[in-house]
Amino acid sequence: MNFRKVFLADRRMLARDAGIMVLPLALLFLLGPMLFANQGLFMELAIYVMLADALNIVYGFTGYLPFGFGVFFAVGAYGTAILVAFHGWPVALAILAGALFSALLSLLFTPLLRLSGAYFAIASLAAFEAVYLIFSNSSLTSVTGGPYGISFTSVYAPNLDYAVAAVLAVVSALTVLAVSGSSFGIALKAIREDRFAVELAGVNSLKYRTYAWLISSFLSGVAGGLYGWYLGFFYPEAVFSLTDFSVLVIVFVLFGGRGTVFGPLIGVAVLFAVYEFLTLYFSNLVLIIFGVLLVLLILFIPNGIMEQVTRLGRLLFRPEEGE
Amino acid sequence: MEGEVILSLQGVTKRFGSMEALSRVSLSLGRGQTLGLIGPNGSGKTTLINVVSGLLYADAGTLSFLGRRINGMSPHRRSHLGINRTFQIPHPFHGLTVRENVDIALLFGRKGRRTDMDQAAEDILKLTGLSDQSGQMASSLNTGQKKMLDLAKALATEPKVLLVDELAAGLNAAETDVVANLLNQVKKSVEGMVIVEHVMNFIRKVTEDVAVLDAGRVIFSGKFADAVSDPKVMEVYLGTKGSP
Ligand SMILES: Nc1ncnc2c1ncn2[C@@H]1O[C@H](COP(=O)(O)OP(=O)(O)O)[C@@H](O)[C@H]1O
Ligand SMILES: [Mg+2]
Repeated sequence: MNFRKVFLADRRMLARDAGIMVLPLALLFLLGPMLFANQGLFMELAIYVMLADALNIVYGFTGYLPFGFGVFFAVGAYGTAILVAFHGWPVALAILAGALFSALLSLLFTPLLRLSGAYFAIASLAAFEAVYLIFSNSSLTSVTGGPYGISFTSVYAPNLDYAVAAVLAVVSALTVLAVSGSSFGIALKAIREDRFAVELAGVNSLKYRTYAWLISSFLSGVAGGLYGWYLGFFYPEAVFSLTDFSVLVIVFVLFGGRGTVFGPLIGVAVLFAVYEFLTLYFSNLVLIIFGVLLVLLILFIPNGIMEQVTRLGRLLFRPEEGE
Repeated sequence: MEGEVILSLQGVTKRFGSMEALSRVSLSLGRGQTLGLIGPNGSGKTTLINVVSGLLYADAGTLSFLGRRINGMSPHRRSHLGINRTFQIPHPFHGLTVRENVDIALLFGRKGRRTDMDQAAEDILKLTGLSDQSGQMASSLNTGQKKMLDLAKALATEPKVLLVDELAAGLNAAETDVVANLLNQVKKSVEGMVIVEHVMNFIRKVTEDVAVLDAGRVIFSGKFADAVSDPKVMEVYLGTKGSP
């Protein structure tokens, strides 16, 4: 296989970006829990890194915003929990299977990909609700635990789950980097830019969007499985939370810069900290504040702060190129 | 005339609501032929290109390319088969660089990827006068350059038939000559070309063969010299737009 054909980006640039990406993440995940004496916080951070990367692949790269994309997270959590609690699977295998189940579900939803813009966003929301109603239905209690939740504390391993989540968060960030620099990634970005012209360039846009959708739902499913493992016991509402696992993630990605490699990571790091802080002191205002933030972001910095940072950097360090 | 027919439309109709933008249009393009497609604004020229390139599907009639019926075929498959086009209002991938725009078409436009990507991209950018803009974002190009980028992307897929939609519109006389020369050069690398243009003077510089559309119908098909003396053409075309 010829590297040049698969990866358009320069090999050294990719390696450099990988370094820039892995180092701070590794430090954050290693030292964070020690400094703040709160591993749960960093567990959630790792989960959000994965979700932001997952959303970035489908929303950032292809331009389609699945508002209810948290459904894949929830299904990953449930898949894992059900396989462990009711079928005695080892947790690692259960997480993998749960994520595959999410990907399978996304395949079922591929007809939605034929919709565009707001229709797609809303249809994905409807899909979210429908799946939630199935999993929380009391007549399915023997299969899903129903409204009473599901418990699989037997595999509870608070340090191992964190270590796995941290490693997989780094892997997911590297995956986005690889996608971004590949011919696959550039096709996705072209779909975002112009879904008609991209076809004329020979790209089967439905096929590539389906691939992006599959990767994204699989990654969300992994995040969900890990989150379920971390919780050990959860009610349907804990994983089927539109605000926690869809809206927040959308805000993170928009804030950092969708379609960029580093933006979503920065969005998660900055805003998750803000979110936790606000929850601590103004818990009843958090959602209002984030709602307003979402509106402001879309109005004033639709391309996220990464673009502003890059522009500022250019102005400061290479003034002759500044606009 | 030229040899074998490579692209043909038989009785092609396209409706928007109750309006027929194309009414039973029959046309054919021979191997090696360049067809000038002219007609007043709103006569259906762009619609015809959309129907042939697959962005719109015909409501009736038959489209065939190299002996294959392509009516229901998606645009990317038509692109792989060798049909490509430029847009009257250019469609660059704004958030990507000029070079990336061309790379996409090079990578995906043909079955079987090529090994000489760099060289191919440089050649195409040079031909279309975009070499200096290679690293720039497509969004930073002016309209003329964006049209050239459209052409560059189309050429990167190595089309057999190229459909060009008003490439010279809005250009001054000198620029128009440059575009005419460019298209005459492009002719050599394709098997057939359809050039849509509003301005008759421009068409004369690139081909002898013309078809004239009016209100979705082909009202003339033949040599340019005969078109300008055809009373029907004079009436609809010049009657609405003044001198050629
Ligand atoms: N997508 C569309 N929806 C509705 N009407 C359209 C559409 N595209 C073109 N038309 C109409 O079809 C007719 C032919 O348009 P067009 O093919 O763009 O003409 P031309 O390129 O010759 O100027 C016009 O009346 C135009 O308004
Ligand atoms: Mg037109």
